[in-house]
Amino acid sequence: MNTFFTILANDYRRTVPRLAGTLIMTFVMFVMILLAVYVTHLQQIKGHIAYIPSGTDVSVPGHPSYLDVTVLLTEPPRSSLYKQTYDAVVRAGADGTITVDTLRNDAFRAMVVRAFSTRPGADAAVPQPAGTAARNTGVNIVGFLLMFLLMQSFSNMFVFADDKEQGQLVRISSTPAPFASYLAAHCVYSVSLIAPSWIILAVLDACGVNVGFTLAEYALLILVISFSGVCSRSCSIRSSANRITRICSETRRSCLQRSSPAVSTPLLRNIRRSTYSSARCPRKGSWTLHAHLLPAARAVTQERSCTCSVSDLLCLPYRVQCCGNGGRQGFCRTIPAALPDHSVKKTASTEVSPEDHRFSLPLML
Amino acid sequence: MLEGAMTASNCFMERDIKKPNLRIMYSPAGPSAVWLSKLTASFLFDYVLHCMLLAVLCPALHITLGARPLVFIALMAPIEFASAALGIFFCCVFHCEETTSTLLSTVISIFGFLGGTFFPTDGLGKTIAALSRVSPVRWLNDAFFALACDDSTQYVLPVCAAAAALSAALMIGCKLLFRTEDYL
Repeated sequence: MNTFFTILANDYRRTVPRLAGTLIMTFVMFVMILLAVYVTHLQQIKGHIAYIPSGTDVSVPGHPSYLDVTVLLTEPPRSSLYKQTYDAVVRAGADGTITVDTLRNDAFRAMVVRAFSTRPGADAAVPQPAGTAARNTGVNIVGFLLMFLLMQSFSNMFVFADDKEQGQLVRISSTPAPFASYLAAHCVYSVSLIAPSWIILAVLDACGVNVGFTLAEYALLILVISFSGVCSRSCSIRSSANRITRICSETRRSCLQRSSPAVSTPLLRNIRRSTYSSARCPRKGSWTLHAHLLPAARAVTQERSCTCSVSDLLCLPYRVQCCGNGGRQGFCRTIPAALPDHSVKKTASTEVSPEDHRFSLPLML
Repeated sequence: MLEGAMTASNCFMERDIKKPNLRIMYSPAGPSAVWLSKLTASFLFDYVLHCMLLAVLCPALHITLGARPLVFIALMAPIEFASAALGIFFCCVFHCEETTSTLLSTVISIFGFLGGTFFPTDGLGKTIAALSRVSPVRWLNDAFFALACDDSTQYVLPVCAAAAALSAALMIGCKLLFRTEDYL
């Protein structure tokens, strides 16, 4: 859990430079919710109907006010139904019968049939379909929010994307920190930034505005949508994990190959278990090891006071050089294999004495 | 298909690809080989991927491409090429993949919004319906829906001609604006 909360806190710290974008997106969602509520109450038209009379009379037949009727003398293309230019095409027969062609459901078809089967001018006689206005508000709100929720949840996963691009993911994965906690922290962070949209809905609901669905339903919908965005961004986790596993195994194999067989097993055990003791200097030579092996190197040098915190996960790989004859009496020192860009800029020099950086852990943040 | 512009911009100026591009530029291949190869690669990638999507989704979801499925698939090609050319051209103008992606993503989203990708705009009044005519997404929707639903090829030639003209103009722009110094 320590890793989870540390990563979560770190994610929020990384949000600060992007605060403007997050606030703008929240504001946009607020506007979209208001727009959806407004449009739902404004929208009275339930369907756009193309009416084809039996003769050449182009006068619009009597129809309920909630239907928008366009009289056409020729059949509209079938694609107009797919593009929803028209919701239904009504053909009037010479004997007064009508045929309705629509891609919408049977309830809509029945409503159109009822509307055009009544006598002309009987607007009020045809009851408005028992359309659930409340549901329409909810459908509109979710529809209007869908794209922005996906975009925001997608962009909120920059924490994972940046870690991956900058190579931090490999280092984090090669440490004792639980990878599941790391991912869970990112997911919780991403979803938490979407919570304001639900809070806006809750406030509107509390103010008496009809928002359609219940708040619990909205919570579920927003959660599902946001997780879709998170998952789409994290879809390459599997490939990343495979890559990480490969790199780690290569590192271990490299250690094995460079170490003498007699002493490689304890070192390998240390790598696997990430224990900080009983490591022995394998033999004279040098190894490029990841940061989590640094404690093992310290153990070799009899310095047991080291502590490995989450911040250690963000270190660059270290090069461990063993100069002794092997065993606990050997002498080891650690040399940074490379320096992070910002460190290079700060020191204005790439010439770094190994002793100066002995056991120092330059942070990437 | 228009999103292919972002594939092209990523393929052209993504951070990790910039340095390899530099190596190509100083090879005997010449500078035009860089953007032209990226353009071709992006186009082929998008086109093949979308064709594979059609091959999977059409039988799975019982979608029909109309009486002329080959014309439908062939019509996708010039549009994919023009989108890839657009992405490369924006990269040549802005010299930055992130700016290009952000700008193209916004522009394409607005076009998609106006063109009725997310919901039909015809029902939102005459003003919105007229405004949607500005969006190329609307015209592409019309062309593909006419082909798939009405078996009508009336939009095929105009769309092909417009895409070819746009591709030619953008490629000339790339040729004029592409500078090797941008990679240093």
